[in-house]
Amino acid sequence: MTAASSAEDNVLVIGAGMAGIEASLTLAEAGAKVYLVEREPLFGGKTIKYEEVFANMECSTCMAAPKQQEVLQNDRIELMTLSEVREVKGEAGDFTVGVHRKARYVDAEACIGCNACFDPCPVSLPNEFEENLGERKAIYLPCPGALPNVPSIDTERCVRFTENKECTLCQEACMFEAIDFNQKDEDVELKVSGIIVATGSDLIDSSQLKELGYSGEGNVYTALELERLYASNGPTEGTIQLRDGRTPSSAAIVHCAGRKDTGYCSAVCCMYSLKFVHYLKDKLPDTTVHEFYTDMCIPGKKYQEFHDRMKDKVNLVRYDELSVSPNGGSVGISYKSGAGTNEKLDVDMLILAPAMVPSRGAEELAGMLGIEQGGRGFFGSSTGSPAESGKGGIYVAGCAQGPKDIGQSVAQAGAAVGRFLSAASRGFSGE
Amino acid sequence: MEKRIGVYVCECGPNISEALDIDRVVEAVSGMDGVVVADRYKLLCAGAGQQHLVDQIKEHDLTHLVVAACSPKEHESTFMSVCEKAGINPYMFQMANIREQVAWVTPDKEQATERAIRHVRAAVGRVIRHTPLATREIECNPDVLVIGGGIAGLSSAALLAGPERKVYLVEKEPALGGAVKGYEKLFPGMRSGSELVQRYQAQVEANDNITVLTGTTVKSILGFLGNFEIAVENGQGEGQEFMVGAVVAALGMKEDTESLGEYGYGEIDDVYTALEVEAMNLEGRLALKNGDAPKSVGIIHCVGREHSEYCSSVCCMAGMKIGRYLKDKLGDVKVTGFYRDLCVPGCDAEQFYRETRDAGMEFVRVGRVEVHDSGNGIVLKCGTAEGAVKEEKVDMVVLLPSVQAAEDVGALAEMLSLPLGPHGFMIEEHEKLAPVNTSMEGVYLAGGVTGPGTAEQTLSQSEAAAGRILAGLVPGRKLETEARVSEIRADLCAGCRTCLTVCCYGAIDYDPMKGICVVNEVLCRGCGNCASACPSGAASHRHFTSNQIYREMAEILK
Amino acid sequence: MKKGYALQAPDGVRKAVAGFLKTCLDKDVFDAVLVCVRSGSACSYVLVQEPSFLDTADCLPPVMPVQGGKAVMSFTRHGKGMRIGALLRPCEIRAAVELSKLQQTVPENISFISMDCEGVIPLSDWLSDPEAAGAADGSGVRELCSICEQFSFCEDDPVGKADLHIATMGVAKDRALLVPVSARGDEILQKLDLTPGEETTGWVEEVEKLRKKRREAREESFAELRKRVCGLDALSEVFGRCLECHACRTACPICYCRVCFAGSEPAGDAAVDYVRRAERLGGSCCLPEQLLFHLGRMSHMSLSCVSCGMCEDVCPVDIPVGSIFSMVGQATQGLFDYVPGRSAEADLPLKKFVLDELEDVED
Repeated sequence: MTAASSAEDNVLVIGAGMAGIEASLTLAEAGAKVYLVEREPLFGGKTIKYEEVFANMECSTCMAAPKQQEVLQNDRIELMTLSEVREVKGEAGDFTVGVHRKARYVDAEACIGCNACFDPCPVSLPNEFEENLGERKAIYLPCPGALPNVPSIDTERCVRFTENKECTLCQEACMFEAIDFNQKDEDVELKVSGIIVATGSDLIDSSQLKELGYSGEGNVYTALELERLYASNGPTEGTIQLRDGRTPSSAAIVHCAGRKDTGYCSAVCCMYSLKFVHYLKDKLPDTTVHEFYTDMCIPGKKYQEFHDRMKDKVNLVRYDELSVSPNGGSVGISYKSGAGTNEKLDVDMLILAPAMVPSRGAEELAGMLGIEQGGRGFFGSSTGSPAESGKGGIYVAGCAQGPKDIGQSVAQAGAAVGRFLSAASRGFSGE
Repeated sequence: MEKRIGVYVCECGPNISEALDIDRVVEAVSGMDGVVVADRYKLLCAGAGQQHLVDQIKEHDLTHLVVAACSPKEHESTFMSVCEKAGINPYMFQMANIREQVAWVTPDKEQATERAIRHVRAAVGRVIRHTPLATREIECNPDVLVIGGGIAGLSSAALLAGPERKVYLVEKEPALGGAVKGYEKLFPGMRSGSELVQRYQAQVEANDNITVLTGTTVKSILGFLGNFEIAVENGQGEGQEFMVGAVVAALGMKEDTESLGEYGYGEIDDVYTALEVEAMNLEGRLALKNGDAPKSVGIIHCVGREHSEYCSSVCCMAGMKIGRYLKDKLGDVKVTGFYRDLCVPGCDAEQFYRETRDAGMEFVRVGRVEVHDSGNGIVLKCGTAEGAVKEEKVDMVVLLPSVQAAEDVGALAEMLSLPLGPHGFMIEEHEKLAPVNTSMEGVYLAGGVTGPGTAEQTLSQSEAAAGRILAGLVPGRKLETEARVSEIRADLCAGCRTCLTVCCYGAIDYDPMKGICVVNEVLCRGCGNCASACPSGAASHRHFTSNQIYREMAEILK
Repeated sequence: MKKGYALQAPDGVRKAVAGFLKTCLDKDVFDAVLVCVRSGSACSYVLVQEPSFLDTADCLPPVMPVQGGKAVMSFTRHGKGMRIGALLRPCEIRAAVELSKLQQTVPENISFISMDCEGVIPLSDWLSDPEAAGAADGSGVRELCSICEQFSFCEDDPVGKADLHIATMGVAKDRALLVPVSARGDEILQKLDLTPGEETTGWVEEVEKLRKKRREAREESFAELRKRVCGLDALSEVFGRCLECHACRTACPICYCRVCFAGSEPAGDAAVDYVRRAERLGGSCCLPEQLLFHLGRMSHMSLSCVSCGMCEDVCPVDIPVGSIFSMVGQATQGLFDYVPGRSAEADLPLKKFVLDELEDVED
C-alpha cells in the first residue's frame, strides 16, 4: 500500500492508545509523516473502555474522541488498524519496518458505518472488547462508537474462513457494496527514521490468581469488566448487574490483586478503585461498598481530594492477606486486617483491581526492535530519560514503559516526540 | 449582494433516509428566503458527493451552503474544504446534524421529520447571517526562554536548542543543577544525582545555541505565542531584553516549612528536614549536632499532609533513600520509617523498598507522630490505627515534609496573568490531554512547578514541553490564527474590562491610550466568554453573533 | 466615636456649606469643587474653580437633576486630574465607587464630601413648585428616598468612600458638624486648621432612629410591591406602558455602556421585523421588547444598583421602575453579600470567580 521511498520525515508509532495518539498528532504538527500501527480493529487503547476517568470523573470517550477525530482527519497520519509490526531492520534515521496488515474485508471508503451487516451474520461469540460480558458477530464493531467506524471480519470465526462456506449474508445486507471478500492480508515495508513504542499494557490474568476466586463466570469481576458494565455504550448500557441478573446490594473492591506475583505497585488502581465507588454509588445508591486496600497510593496534587470525597461513601478496610471463595450465591471474603485480626465478609459482587502487566507480545516486539525489557517486562532503559529505549531512534511512551496514569502517559509521549525531533534535527548523531 | 443558499440533505444510507421523510425536509426549506436550491443526495461525504456539491455551487452560483447530515465533528471540515474548492469562503457554511441529534435519537419517524425540519431551517436562518472570515498569518520567533536550571530546565534546553533556535536558560542561583545536584543518589536505582545533572549540564554547556544566565531572574514577560518580550536582571542590577516564541517554566519545588514546627523542628536539637540530611550526606557529615554518629534515627513521613491535603509523591522513597544513606555510611544504626501509607508506584519502586528493608531499615505504620524532647534524647510518640500509642527513643529525627512549588511561582504566575491552583502549583491546561501546556499558548510547565513528582516524571514533562515547541514553533513557519475568534468594536467599548476579567486565555488586552479593550487573535480560542459578559454587545464572537443565534433559535422555536 | 467640627451656620446650613467649600478653594485644599447649584428653575452639577462663584451660588437644592456619580464620571473618565472636592449625597458617592470598578471613574484625586440626606424632591414636583424645600419630616421626597437607610455615614457599617461627612440630623439648627471619615478627611480639616471637638452622639442616635424607621418602611413597601409585580403577567402589566424612551437608562449612573445592548447592532436585531414576528407568534405588539429591555438592564446593573431612584424620577409614564430595581437589587446583592459602593476594594461579583458560591441557589 504505502512504501515510502525514503525514511526522512517518516515516523512509526506502534500502538494507537492515548500515548500513540498524542505522539502522532505532535509529530504530524512538526511536519512528519506518521504511520500509526494498531493491532486492534479500533483505536483508543484502554482509555476508550472507561466511562469516566479520575479524578474529575470526566467522560472518557468524550475526552478521547476529539483527539481520535484529529488523528482520522489529519492527512499526515496514516492509521493502520489490524496491523502488527513483524520485522525491524536498520538504525536511527533509517529503519525498514515490515508491517503485516490483516484484511478487514470491508471497504473503508464505501462503508458508512450503518451496522446493517451485523444482524444477518450467523456466527455469535463473546465480545472480547466487552470483556466477554456481551456478544458480537463474526463481522463486527467492537463497541458502539468504535473508531474507525468500519466493521471487520474475524477470520477465526467467519464460516467463510473456518468452514469454507459460501456465506454472503453480510454482503447482501450492505447497501453500499462495501463488503469485499477479495481483500487480502498484506505485508508492507515502511521506511522510517524513528520509532515510538506506545503499546500500552494489559491486566494480569486474574484466573491465575487462585486465591481470589475469579473464573470469568461467577460474581467476581475484574476492573475492566466493571468498566464495561458501567459504560453507557457497554453490553448492559450502563446497568450494573450480576451475571445471574441480580442487582448487587453489596460490593467489595480488592486492591493489589496479583501484586505479590508481579512484585510492583501498578500505580493507578487505588485511584480507579475509588472511582469505582463513585460508579457503584451512582447506579446503586443503596449498595454498601467495601474497599480492601494495603496502602492508599494517591500521589499528586489532585488525587487526595478525590479520595477525601469518596471515603465517606465506602467502608475502607486495610488488609494484609485476603482470599475469596464462593459462599452460596454470595462471594465470601476471608482476610487478615491491618490490625492483625482475622475477619470474614460476604458480598454480592467482588471487583478485583488486577496488576498491570506489559502488553501481550511485548517480548517479541522487544526482540524485533532490539530494545531492553526491564526486569518486569516493560520497555525502556533506566539510564536517563524515561522515553529512552536504550537504542538510538527508538523511544518509549506510556504504559509500555511502566504503570502510570493517562496524564503521565501523554506527557511521556510528548517526551518521546521531543527526543525524536531533537535527535532528527541533529541527524541522529550521538544516538 | 444577493444571497443564494443551497441546502443539501444527505441520506447517509439508511441512517437518515429510513429514519425520517427527507422529501418533506427538503420541501420545508425550499420556500425559505434566500434558498435557491434544496435537494437530497445519497452520500455527501464520499468523493462523488463532495464533487456534486462543488458542481452545484458553481451551477447555481451559490453564496452560502447548508448540509444536513451527520455531526459537524465528522464532516464540518470536509464540507468547508468543498466550499473552498468551489470558490466560496468556507465560513459561509452551516451544518445541521440530523443524524446523531435526530435520526439516532428517536425511532418515531414523524417526530424525527418534524425535528429535522427545525434543525435544517435553523441552519438556513443562521447561515444567512454568516460573514466571510479569514485566518491570518503571523511571524513567530522560534527561540525559547527556559526558566530554571535544574534537570527540567537543562533537559528541555538540551533538546530544544539548535542552529535555528536559540535557548535562553535563566537560573536564579549562581550554579545550575537545581534540587537534584543536592542529592548524592536518586531513587529507585540509587544512581548518582550529580551524574544525572552533569549529563544534561554538559549537553547544555557544549551547545553554543544556549545562553546560560545564572544568578539571573525574569523581570517581565509580555506578549504572546511566537512574540514574547522578555526582560531579565542579574544580581548586579544589569538587565537584558530579548524576544522568544515560547516559555518553559521549570522553577522546581521546595519543602513546605509551615508544619515543621509541630514536629519540634527548630526547637529540639537533631530534628532535620530531608533536604538538610541530603546536604549533610553530601558533605560527609551524617552526624548529630554534637558530632557523634546517631545510633537510632526516626524518619517521619507525611509531615504537613493535613495542611497541604495532597500526597507529595516522592517522600516515601526519599525517606527510604535517606535510610539507605544512613545504613550505608553508618552501618550500625537503627533506622525506622514511620509512615501512614507506603507510596511506591511503578515497576521499580517496590523493589527499591524491598532492597531498603533488606539493607536493614525498618518500617512502622502509624497515625500521628509527636516528637518530644525527653531531656535525655528524643522520644517519638506514635498513634497506631488501632488507637494504641507506641513510644520510640531516637537520637535523630528526619522529617519528610510536603513538597510545594518553588518560591517564585507566585511572581511568575502574576507576570503571565495565569492563576495558581488551590495548592499553589501552576495549572496545566488539561490533566490528561495537555499535562505540560498552560491555558496561555506558548507557555509550558515542567517539574515541581506544576506538581510534586519524581525525577522521571519531571523529565517526561520537560522533554514533552520541548517536543511541543519543536513541533509547533518551527523556524520559518508562520503561525496561522483561528478565524472563529471574538472581536471588540472599538466604537462600542466602554473600557470596563469585564471581558478581560472573564477571559481564561489572556487573550484580551486593555489599551490605556484609547481606553478600550482589544482581542488578541493569536491567543483567542473563540470560547465566547467575553461576548456573553459584555453588557453592551461591544464584544462579540465573529461566528456566533447574537443575530446568528437569534435567527437559529427563532427557526427552532417556530 | 468620631468627633466633628462645628461649622457655624447663622444663615442656614446650605450657605455655610457653600462657604466652607469656598474656603477650601481659597486655601488650596482643592483645585475645584463639584457641587449641585440651582439657577432659576434649573439646577446642575458645576465644577467650580473660581471661589467667588460660591458667594452667590445657591448650592444644595433639594433635588437631584443628575446622579452625582454620573457627574464624577464626566469629569474623571479620562484619568485622574485635578484635586476635586465633590459634595455628593451618599448614593451618588456609592455610584461613583461602583463606576470605578468598571473603569468609568478614576476617584484617585477626588475627596468625597457626603452629607445627611433627607431625600430629594421628585423633579416633576419641584418643577411645579421650585420653592419647595421638602417637608422637615422628610415627606414629599422620592419614593426610594423615603425608604432609604444609607442616607448618612455610620461608623459601624461604613458604606461609601466618603472622606468628610456633613452631619445635620440631631444637630442644632445653627450649625453643621464636619465629621472626618477617612485619613484624607483628617488632612483636609488639618489643612484648614479646624479641630474636630464636638461630640457626635446626638447625631449618631438620630441617624439610628431614622434608619430603623426607614428599614421598616422599606420592608413594608417591598412587601406591597412584591404582590404587585410577581409573575410574568404582572410584570408585563406594570411595564406595559413603557415607551422605551430609555430615560431610565440615561439617568441611571450605573448604565455606562456607550451603546446599550438594546439598540446595539452586534447585540441583536436592530430593526424588528414585526410582520415576521406576527407570523411566527400569531401576533406582535408594536414595541415588543419592553420587558426584555428592563429585564436585560436589570441583569446587567442589579448588583450595582444604589437605589438612588433617578430612573423612577425621570420615567414619563410613572412606572415604579426604581422601586422594582431596588427590590431586585436588594435580593441579588444579598446572594453575594455585596453592598454596592461599600468598598472600592470589593470586587464586583460578576467579575470575580469564587468556587463555592451560590450553593443554596444551585439546589
